Amino acid sequence: MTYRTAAISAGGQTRQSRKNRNTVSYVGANTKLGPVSNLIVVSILLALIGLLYLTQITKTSTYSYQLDTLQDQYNEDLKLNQALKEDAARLRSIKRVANADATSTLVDISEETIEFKN
Amino acid sequence: MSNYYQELNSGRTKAIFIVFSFVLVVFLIQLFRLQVVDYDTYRSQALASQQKKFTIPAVRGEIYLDSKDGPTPLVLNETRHIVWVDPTFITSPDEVAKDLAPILKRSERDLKEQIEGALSPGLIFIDENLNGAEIEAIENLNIDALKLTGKDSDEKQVDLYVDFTKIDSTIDIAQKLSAIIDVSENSIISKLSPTQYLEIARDVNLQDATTIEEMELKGVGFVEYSKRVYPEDQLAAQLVGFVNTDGEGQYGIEQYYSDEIKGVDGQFKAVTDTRGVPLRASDDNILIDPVDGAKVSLTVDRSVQAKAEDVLKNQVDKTGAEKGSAIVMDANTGKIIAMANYPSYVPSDYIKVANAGNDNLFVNNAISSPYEAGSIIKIFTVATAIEQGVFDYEGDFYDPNQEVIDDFTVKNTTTFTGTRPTREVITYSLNTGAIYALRQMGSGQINNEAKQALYEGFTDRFRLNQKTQIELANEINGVIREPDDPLSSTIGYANMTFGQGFTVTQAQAASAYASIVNGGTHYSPYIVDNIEYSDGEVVSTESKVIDTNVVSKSTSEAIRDLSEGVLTEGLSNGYQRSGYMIGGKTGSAQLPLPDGTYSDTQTIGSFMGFVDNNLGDNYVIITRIDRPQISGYAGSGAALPMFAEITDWLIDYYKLPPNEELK
Repeated sequence: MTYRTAAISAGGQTRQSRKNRNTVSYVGANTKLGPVSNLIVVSILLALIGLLYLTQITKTSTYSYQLDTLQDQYNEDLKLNQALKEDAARLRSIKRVANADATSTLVDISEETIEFKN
Repeated sequence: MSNYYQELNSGRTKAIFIVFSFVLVVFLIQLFRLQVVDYDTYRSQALASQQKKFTIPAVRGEIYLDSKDGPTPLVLNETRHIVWVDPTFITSPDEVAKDLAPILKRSERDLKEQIEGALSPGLIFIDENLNGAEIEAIENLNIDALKLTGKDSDEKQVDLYVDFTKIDSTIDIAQKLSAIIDVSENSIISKLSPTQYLEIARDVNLQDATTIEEMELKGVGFVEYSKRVYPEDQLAAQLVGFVNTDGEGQYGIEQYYSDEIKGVDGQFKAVTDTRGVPLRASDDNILIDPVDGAKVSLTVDRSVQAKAEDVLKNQVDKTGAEKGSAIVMDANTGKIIAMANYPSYVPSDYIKVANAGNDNLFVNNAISSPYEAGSIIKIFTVATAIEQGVFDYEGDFYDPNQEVIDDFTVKNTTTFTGTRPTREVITYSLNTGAIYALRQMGSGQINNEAKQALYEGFTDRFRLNQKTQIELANEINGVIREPDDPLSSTIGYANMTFGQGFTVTQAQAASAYASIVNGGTHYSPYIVDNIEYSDGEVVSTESKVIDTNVVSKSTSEAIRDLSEGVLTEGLSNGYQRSGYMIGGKTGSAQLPLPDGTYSDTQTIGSFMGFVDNNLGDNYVIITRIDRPQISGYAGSGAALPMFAEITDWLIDYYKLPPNEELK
């Protein structure tokens, strides 16, 4: 006949032992969470999940703002490009060239003034 | 322990538990209703307030001219700004005016007064034309701020104003007035409230707008808009047209290719934050990209166009003429190298031009002003007769110098009477010679057979009554009466032989003449070289042949020879250049008067000519000048010199190689 003795230690572990056996083992106590603890743990888990979700959403929204900033920059560059294009075209316009100082020094070419080689 | 459970099982505890459970259930049901049953309703409401719609404007297509260096911009877009201020935010109009005036190029004092005026506007108009009962009721209010104008004068109209500086209570005044006059209370309040949007400058460029923005002035804002800009000012204005305030193209290329050039606006619908910044991570976002307008490249050469406009301007100013126009066309392809008009305008100033009543400047006379072209039509009369085989241009004919037809006398400018070479019909522009050609088509009579032959020559053969289909808006067709038209009298058809009594445009005449001098092929004139769409697709225009047998080779040679003779024999101021075959025909058409007769003093001068080096380069140039104030004939005295100057310059510009055989 064997018997087993069990003793609950201060830490809630059950000390298991048998007669004539030099075996001693500690079995973890059958700890159970009470309703309040349960609620707290679940709430913490949900909060963690929520935090994770919020983090990701905030990150995505941040990208939206960055995109918006880039889009604004692109639009500004486009406007600048348009302005420069117009400036370049005006600088090369027929009217401007015709009235330029350099043009006034040009002379008409006539056959007499051209020397052809060969 | 048992007490604890006893307490739990007690009646009160149960009751509280039931109440709380009931409340919880109600909450759960309500939550379910809000979040599941009415989900779509509340979601729509949320989206309606959070979601904003942005229009992404399409960029209007640019227009380019050709040049030796490749396409050169003629019409571009630029972002301009309206600068506005909210006077209610401005604490110191002096300082704002001082900062902005030099940038906006406005007087500091004017700017300051404008801002101060918006804060304290003085007399504000409320209503006009008040009746007697309204006037009496307003006077009975005894409000010092109310002013009735016109009451004490003989004017029949009495208007109501409010003196802003004397208002005690805007709402009080608005309530009392709205009960008397037919203006709503809200409308009156709006008028009496200091404006929060005061425009102080328009058309501000990017650089200046950026400078102002960097000043970070409180109460100063900007509205951006896209504006068409014209770096070449008025060059080719009538070819291009303009864009009106509704964004619609008017005249020219802007109107003809309006759908292609304006593009399609895009759309972006997104949930936004409180500042209106789109939050892009949403399944409800809609993005439709804009389709930018197509870029149009013209066949017109910038330098040739400028030269033609310059020549027109000088001649019109010199002769005191009303206007002028010219076309330069490649006779071997139909490509338009230049199409010029003078006087002209800068397309960006179209509003000023319209307000000044000068809408005529918008018109491209080369395609939209058919006119009685005069003696240049003799070319087509003689060509028709030669093709009919009834006119020997190297033979002779009897010239009576003048003849009476239907009680009208037709005369020549020369005085010779007798037998003379038929080529002189063109060389000396003989009206009687042109009538002779018509008679020959009717076996010696101006009968139905002759009229029909001439009509078919002008219409079927030379297409003078058909639009050229050139890619420009507002092309107008000339009018040629059919032979069986009740108004087609004998004298009417006789006049038609020398270009009176029917109308053509310069474009029609140029393309018809080109079909003769190039050997008999009628090309459809075109002015667009290619269109480049925003997706990269490029659609190029190819030369289009309408008819390959307009005239025979021999007729073509005959007309070329006769045309050359005009400049070498017929005119004292004829133009020639060694190495090139140059010819043409003058026209001095009397202007028709309202009574059906023709003016003896007012004429339209034309010259229709060509330059060919017989080495593959062949250009038709046609010039027109209206009402030049010169002695002599408008064709030879005013139009021909323009042809000569353009042609001479063209040869040098394109470095057309001279032909040894033509020296």
